[in-house]
Amino acid sequence: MSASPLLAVTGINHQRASVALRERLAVAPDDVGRELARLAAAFPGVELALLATCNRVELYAHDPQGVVDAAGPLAELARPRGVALAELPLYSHAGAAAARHLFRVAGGLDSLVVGEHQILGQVKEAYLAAHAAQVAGPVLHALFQEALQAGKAVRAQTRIGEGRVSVASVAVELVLRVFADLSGKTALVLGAGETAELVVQHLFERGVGELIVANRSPERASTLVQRHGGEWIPLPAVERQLHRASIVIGSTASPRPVLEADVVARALARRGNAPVLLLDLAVPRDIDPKVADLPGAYLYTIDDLHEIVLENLAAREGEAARALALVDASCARFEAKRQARDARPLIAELRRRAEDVRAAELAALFAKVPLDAAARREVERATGRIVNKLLHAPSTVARARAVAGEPDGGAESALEVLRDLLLPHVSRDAPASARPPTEPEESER
Amino acid sequence: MSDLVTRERALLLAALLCYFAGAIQGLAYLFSARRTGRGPLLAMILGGLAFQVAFGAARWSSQGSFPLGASRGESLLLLIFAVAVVALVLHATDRARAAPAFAMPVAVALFAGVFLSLDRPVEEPFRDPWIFGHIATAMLGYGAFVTAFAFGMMHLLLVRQLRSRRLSALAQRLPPIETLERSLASCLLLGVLLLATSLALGAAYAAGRIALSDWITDAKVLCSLLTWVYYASALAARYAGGVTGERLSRLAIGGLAGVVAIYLLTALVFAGGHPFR
Repeated sequence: MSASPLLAVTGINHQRASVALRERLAVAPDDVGRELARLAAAFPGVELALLATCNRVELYAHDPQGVVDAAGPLAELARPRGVALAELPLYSHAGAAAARHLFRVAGGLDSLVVGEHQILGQVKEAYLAAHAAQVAGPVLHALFQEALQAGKAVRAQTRIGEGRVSVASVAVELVLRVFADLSGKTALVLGAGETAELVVQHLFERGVGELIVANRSPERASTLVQRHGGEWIPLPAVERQLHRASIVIGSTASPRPVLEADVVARALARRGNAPVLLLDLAVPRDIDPKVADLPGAYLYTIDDLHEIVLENLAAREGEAARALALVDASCARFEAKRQARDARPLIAELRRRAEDVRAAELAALFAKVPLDAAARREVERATGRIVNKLLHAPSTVARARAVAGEPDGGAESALEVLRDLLLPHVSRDAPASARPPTEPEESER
Repeated sequence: MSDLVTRERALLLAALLCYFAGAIQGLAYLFSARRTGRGPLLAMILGGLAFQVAFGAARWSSQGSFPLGASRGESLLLLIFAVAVVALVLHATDRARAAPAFAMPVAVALFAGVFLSLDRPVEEPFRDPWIFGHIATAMLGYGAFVTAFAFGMMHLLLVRQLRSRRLSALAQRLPPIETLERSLASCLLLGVLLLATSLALGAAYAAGRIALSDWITDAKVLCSLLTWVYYASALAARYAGGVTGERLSRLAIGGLAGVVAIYLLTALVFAGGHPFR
């Protein structure tokens, strides 16, 4: 695929650099516009866009003069931060590779968690910021539009974004497989581990109704209760309150199960056998494994959740090949549009020159031959039609050849190119005698 | 099919093909590794409904009366229509996008009954508003039981997924357990009420016209009563006996199997409609 030498990206990401290095180049979302304006002043005429997230800082640049690549603006971005680019493990791509990189990023293929959704919104924000700062020109506009389409296509046509990939989010996904509406539901947390806190946080983001924290002492439960409201109960009181909970999260350090199967069975009966989801995040387990056999009870251990995370990650990786195919298709489309755009100025110049010649000849004709207004108009129309018809074939062929790119490694002669442009209807293999004479022989003039 | 004009037959076949395609689309949504769009499935079901409406209009025009009650096939078509509408609404509103995967195959299977019995007209006296109400409520009631079957199947499938301690793509395409249990119970309740209404309308029609000894021992009446008792018992077990979850789903699935068996029994062994004179 032919490349544009004027489009480039330079950046740093989680794959090459630790957070300690990345944070040296970090740009806050509110500062992106200001930084772009500063860079535009330093590099006038260069299109710029800045993609800054917690996992990457990338600068996209397009210089119509072909002089400035992205490293220069990135160095200028780093200068006030006291960072020299040589200190950073940067990557750079140019031309079609730069476009492909952005399409991969937008599709979530370059993310820490493959297929994550957030990056597409961040790419969009980067484009909007460049547009607002008036530093994105036609090339970056087309590039980011195609990138956003590629990102949407990857997520719509593959399953790369499906399946949760953290224990806490898998836990919440399980909750949502059991319960449609969390607003009237109560979550009971046994103990107060870090993962349990994350799960509770996610549950409250999804609108869970109430929280009960069962712990040896109220102080241990205070963080959760303070943050989300709810009540503390001592662990021995769990049996009396268990029937209120639709979601039970086990996270104590108890060496023996806190919830036996018969206790859960009694609670289920008291709930009218309404379903209960039990997430046992503790090791040793807090919940008797026999609970899984009770009708209406759905029990998952920490190992089950890890297993689901691994399966989801593998499934996402499995979708990567199809996602890459979509990215490649986007690259081809972007390149075709870029090539077609390159042909436009040439075609416009050709037409302008033809019109100049026509205008000059008409002026000379009208000076020599007196014609009335109607006759002049007819002559102008006729010559206009002649110019349009003569230029139609070369314009069409030029546009098509720009999109198709260089054939056969550029082995065509200038004469063959001229024939294709001016006489596209004539086969290159036709003998000269088969073509009607268009020019009189020298002796006939 | 001898009494059908060619146009009516073509419309019915077109409806069947649309529903068949909708069933395939529904199964693809549930089991395909690729993401499937909502559009083709909705289009197929809507197309089938449109062809059914067109058939109804053509039939009304050719026989001069609303196409319900003139033959058992017409009654079945109302049932199929109800099932397709419910599947369409459940899918389009995201309440149960997987519903067509279970409901539409049943609708397609019911077409066999349509083609077998569409040319068996019932006797003239049954073309009556009372009978229309009796048949319509019966068919809608059975439609509710078909929908309960679909919810029951989805419920058992999801329970199986959850009990395997996994969270497959299939599990994520099914509605939550709570939704399935609640919807199943609602469908059973609706079906029981509609079937009760149908039986009451039939009894009200028969009173004074047909001897009690004739219709109370009629095979079809008895089978309908049995169906009603079965589903009403399932409902009582749900609300009063605490029977929920998998057990209720199995009752709903078994119930539909029973309804189908009853229909075949009355259609084939007892020669179809009420043999009243």
